[in-house]
Amino acid sequence: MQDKFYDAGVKDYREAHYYFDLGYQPDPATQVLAAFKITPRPGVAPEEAAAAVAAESSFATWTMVWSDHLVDPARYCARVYHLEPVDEGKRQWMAYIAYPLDLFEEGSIPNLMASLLGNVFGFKPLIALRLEDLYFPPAYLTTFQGPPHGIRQERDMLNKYGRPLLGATMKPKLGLSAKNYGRLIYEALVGGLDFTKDDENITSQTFMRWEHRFEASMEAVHKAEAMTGERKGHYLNVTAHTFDEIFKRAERAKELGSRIIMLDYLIAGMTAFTSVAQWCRENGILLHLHRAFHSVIDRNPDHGVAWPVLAKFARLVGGDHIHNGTIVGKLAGDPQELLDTARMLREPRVTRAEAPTIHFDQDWLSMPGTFPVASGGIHVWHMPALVHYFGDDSILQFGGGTVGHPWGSKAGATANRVALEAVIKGRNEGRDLQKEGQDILSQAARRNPELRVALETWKGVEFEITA
Amino acid sequence: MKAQPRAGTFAYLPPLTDQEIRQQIEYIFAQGWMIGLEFSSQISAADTYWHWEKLPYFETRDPDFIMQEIQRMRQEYPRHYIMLTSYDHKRQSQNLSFLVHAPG
Repeated sequence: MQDKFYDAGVKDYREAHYYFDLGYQPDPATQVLAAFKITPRPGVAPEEAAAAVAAESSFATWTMVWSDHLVDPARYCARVYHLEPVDEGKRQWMAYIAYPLDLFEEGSIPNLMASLLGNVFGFKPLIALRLEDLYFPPAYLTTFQGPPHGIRQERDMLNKYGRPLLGATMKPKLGLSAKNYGRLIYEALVGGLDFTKDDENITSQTFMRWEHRFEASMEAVHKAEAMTGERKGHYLNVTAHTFDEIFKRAERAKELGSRIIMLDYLIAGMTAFTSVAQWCRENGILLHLHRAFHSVIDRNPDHGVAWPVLAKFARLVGGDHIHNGTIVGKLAGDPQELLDTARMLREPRVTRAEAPTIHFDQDWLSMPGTFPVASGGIHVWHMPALVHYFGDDSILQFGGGTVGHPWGSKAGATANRVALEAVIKGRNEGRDLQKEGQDILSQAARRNPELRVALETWKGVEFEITA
Repeated sequence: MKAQPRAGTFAYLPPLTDQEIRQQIEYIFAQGWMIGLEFSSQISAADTYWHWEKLPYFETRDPDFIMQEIQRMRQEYPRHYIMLTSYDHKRQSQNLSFLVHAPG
């Protein structure tokens, strides 16, 4: 009797199927490409570790199984097509892996994450694993909705052109009553901001239930619009603990006439995010994405998922705004990577020549762009640098830098708006913002007392500027 | 009380001088954009389509001509707001747009 029906047992990954295939030419029209930084366990060869990543994130399990013979592995195996050392001292390599399109459901980041960010991240042959970049081929990219409206449409909805948009997060984060909260919003908007924002910690606590917050916020928005003649918005946070709650709150925001809602997309998760993005497209409401939780995932340089990948998810699935760091403010982040990510969020095509920190050129075809939001520890003195780095298609959010003005948030808002417009005007006149930024602000302050006091208040407050 | 109505990219700066307006026009032309002029008797968040007396000046790249048109419109519509708008046909969007006249 025959006792060997197939090649059973455990094989080295690099010997099994097609997982390790250096020199393989991936197809950029249809294949997802990933750059994984791998740190193999001592004693494990980098080739084997890389093959293990490809195998475990695609077709394989730990042993050969008879049922492999019922499918065509060539259609489902991810392949390591290039391997290069990153840091010999730390024993780190960059493994470039190609994934066939058959592996993924159309338009589903949850499905993509389950494969690429699944068990493989806890795999024993590796001490650490970090997904540094991810390429979306046109055939896959077009299965995603993209931003509900995008930068150009948002500018038309707000009737605001030629400059970054200005926002502020309302402070203190917690404890304000709805009535007082609405007052804060009104003062900031009537003073000159385009947007105000719920802090991410606010959902519907006892001190301010969401129904009351929504009503007070929208009264403030409507009054500020009537008083200034400008269109305004408040990012009503709809992040909640159930889908039903999220959509109940989103519907109420719409009913009250809000132009925009906010979701903490990593905390709500990709499924909720996708549903909310589709709802926003259908209902003509802008979607502001906050990114609480991202540092848990992206801050470790050896392990996790790099920020640019999470930012790509934000544009693909569908945010109109996404927080992307400030370069000059209080929060960590590599400056070049933030600039490259801003480019990745906005441009129709991004290449390695323009964006040195990315691993793959990325074509976005006709997908609209997402506004990068700079927020966290920034104030008027940073305005020239922020405009220099991020350009017009960005949102600059000064929370403490608005509410912390000695005369109150209305004056703080005016100071920021005057500073922004003066910087834009100067830039258009051909002035060098890096060299003349402070002069531009000082000159504008001579005719604007709110700006003069803001400049005095935050003079010399830096969180260290590089880049 | 009514807060000061605001419109355009430089809504919070003192009114631009003709010299400053001209510099912005030169910037717009340097970007490859086109200029239009529109006017309205009032500023309102609900109203984004102001009156066009003429089509935008699609063929013009001459700052002197635009300045003359602004001057002419100021005389014709002294009690209106006049906005200089710019258009980028590559991005298919409106761009930098600011007031060049407000009723005195």
